[in-house]
Amino acid sequence: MLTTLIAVSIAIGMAYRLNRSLTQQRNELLSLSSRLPIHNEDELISVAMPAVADDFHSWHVYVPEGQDYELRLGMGAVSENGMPPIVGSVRIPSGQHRVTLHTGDSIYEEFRYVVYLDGQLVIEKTMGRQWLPNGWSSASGISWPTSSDRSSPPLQLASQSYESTPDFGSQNYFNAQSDGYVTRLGYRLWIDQPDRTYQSASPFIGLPGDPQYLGIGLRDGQRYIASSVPYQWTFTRPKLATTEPVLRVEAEFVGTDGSILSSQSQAITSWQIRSAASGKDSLRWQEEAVQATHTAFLHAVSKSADGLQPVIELKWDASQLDVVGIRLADTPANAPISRWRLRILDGSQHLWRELQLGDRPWITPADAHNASNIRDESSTNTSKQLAVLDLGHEPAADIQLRWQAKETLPLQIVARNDIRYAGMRLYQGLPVKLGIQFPAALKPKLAVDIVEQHPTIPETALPGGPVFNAIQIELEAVEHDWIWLSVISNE
Amino acid sequence: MKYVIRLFVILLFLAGCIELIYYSTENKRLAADVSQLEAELGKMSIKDPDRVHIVEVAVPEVPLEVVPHIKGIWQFRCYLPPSYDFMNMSGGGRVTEEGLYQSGGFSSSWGSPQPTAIHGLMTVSFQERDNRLQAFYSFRGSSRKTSWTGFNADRLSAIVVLKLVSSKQGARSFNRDTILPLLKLYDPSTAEDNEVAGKAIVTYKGGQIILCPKSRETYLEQLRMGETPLDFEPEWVATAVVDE
Repeated sequence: MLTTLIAVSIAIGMAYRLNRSLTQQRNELLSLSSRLPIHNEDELISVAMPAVADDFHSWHVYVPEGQDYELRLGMGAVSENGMPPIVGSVRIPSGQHRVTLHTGDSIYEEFRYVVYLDGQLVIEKTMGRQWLPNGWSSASGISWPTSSDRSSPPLQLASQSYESTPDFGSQNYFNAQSDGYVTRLGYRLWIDQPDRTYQSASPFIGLPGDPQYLGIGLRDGQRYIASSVPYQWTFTRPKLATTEPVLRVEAEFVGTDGSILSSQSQAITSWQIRSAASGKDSLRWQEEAVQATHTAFLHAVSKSADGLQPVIELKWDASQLDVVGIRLADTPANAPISRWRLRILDGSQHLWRELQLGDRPWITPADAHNASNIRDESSTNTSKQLAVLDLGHEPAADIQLRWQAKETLPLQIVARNDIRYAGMRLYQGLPVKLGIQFPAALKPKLAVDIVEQHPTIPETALPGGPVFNAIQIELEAVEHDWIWLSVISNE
Repeated sequence: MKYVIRLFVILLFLAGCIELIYYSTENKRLAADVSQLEAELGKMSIKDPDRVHIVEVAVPEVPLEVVPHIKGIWQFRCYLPPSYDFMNMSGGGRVTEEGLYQSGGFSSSWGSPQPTAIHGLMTVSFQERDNRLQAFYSFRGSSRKTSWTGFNADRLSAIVVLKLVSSKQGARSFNRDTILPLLKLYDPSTAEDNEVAGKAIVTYKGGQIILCPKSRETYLEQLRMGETPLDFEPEWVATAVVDE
């Protein structure tokens, strides 16, 4: 009996080992095949077939019984959380099917898209040459928008968001970089219930489900992102083809007792973004379809509880993608502040060489140097001597200031074409005009920092002449009016 | 007590028999499934996990609606050993019947070596674009296309195809330092006598796709130019199979 038991045990052991080996082989082979693994008959399932051409993409799909579904092709404005308009749909019965998408995504093919269901042409859409008149430089897939609706979720088969090629001449290649939350032209192909509709995507980023590292603000407008430098506020605008900062601002605060909080004082450890002017609740925006504006508060986190602890309010308006509002928040924490200065940095990276006050003519750094007869001695930054410019006397009106580079081509192209810029870190995005608008009632003072020296090579002049390296506005802290910072595409 | 022990042993025996029947049935089902998948994807047993294994997929799965748009397709099931660092090179122009010589445009790309072994399907297909042949290469989600200039797409049915492996002859395995000419196509009617690197050779309109280990990159460059590296050993380059 014992011998029989041992024999059975050995046989089981061998069968078990064979089972392990066969299971591993089968799983490896299954991962290469396009067989549908139907684990749950109530769910939509798809498996991509091996790619056999760059313009054809095929899937085996399983559609469950008991619910109507349709295959939809959406084309047009698309983003990570945005659905394009549906340009074609067809009922897809329950069972197993094969779906093929042909993407004729070139000017030559006039952006023609064809969907086949079980070998039959069911949707065809030609967008025409003008859809992306210069073609596209890169394309990336976009995931399905996050949703709380988990019952019978749709199944996305394919998606693409195209980065259009800007026209700077055939010899001038432009490398654009943005993210999937920027609205671009593209498509989605998916299986969905016929009665399911989608609201247009929120223009804001920073809502629940959005990745924090891409910033908060407007998807296609200005976004605030946490800065690696504690004292600075950093804004990006990926819609203008770069994810690097387009605007960096450093602030100084002067207390009613004469105390000063600045980058030199090293008192601030970070700026924390929060929901309200008081309290410590982290930022929590809620998605409201009708909400056209959102605000957030930057709280200065100091090393000690004494001293100035300013709170700044930021405001984004969905109807004004180019601007972000900024002001001292209406909170007791700001009461001890008498004046504050905003210093807008990075002029030597943007090569700011033109500045305009209101409707006055544009001036150069040399003009500004000649026009200023006072040095800004109030600045705490003693390493910089700023040239003060007269803003005029119009106490009732808002004052507008604009500045920009002289170059019309993106600076990455300028740097490539002109060897003198080699080694300089220049702004990588599309050409922009920057601006600030503030109430004259805040008794503003304007000063500019002009740089003539090359940033890295000693005793060498900056290629192309001096630039406005920083623009500084000093304001009274008595009113809580908005100051608008703008970043406008020059295109 | 004796009866209790006997009863326990009998129960153990019965449980063992049931388990054995279960595994036997399950293994039969798995073996049948594996056989069917191997019939679709090619049979390949990995005897030495440090060697590259490749087998041709006899009938690549191409949807009917895509068939009219494809001029030719070859698919290979590949096993790449851990940390295998290779590049793929695709180029068209003029090639020789033997060797790796190729004049004309080409493109190459490096993969990133993985710490674990890789199983994947490698696909090479051709489409006609502006009366040119466009080669499409795809492996594990990344793909690339290369225009094979000078190759008349209309004559694709008359070309000679040289493959590293063939579905008829089964899987092959290679040392990880071997240069692998996966596929070569040439038109035999376009023979031309040329002198390359001081040697008289016959070239044809065609193109090739090569998998090259990083350790052999500089040698491949010389071989592609028609030169013979100083310390060259013929076994560095795998030879094509010939279907009878």
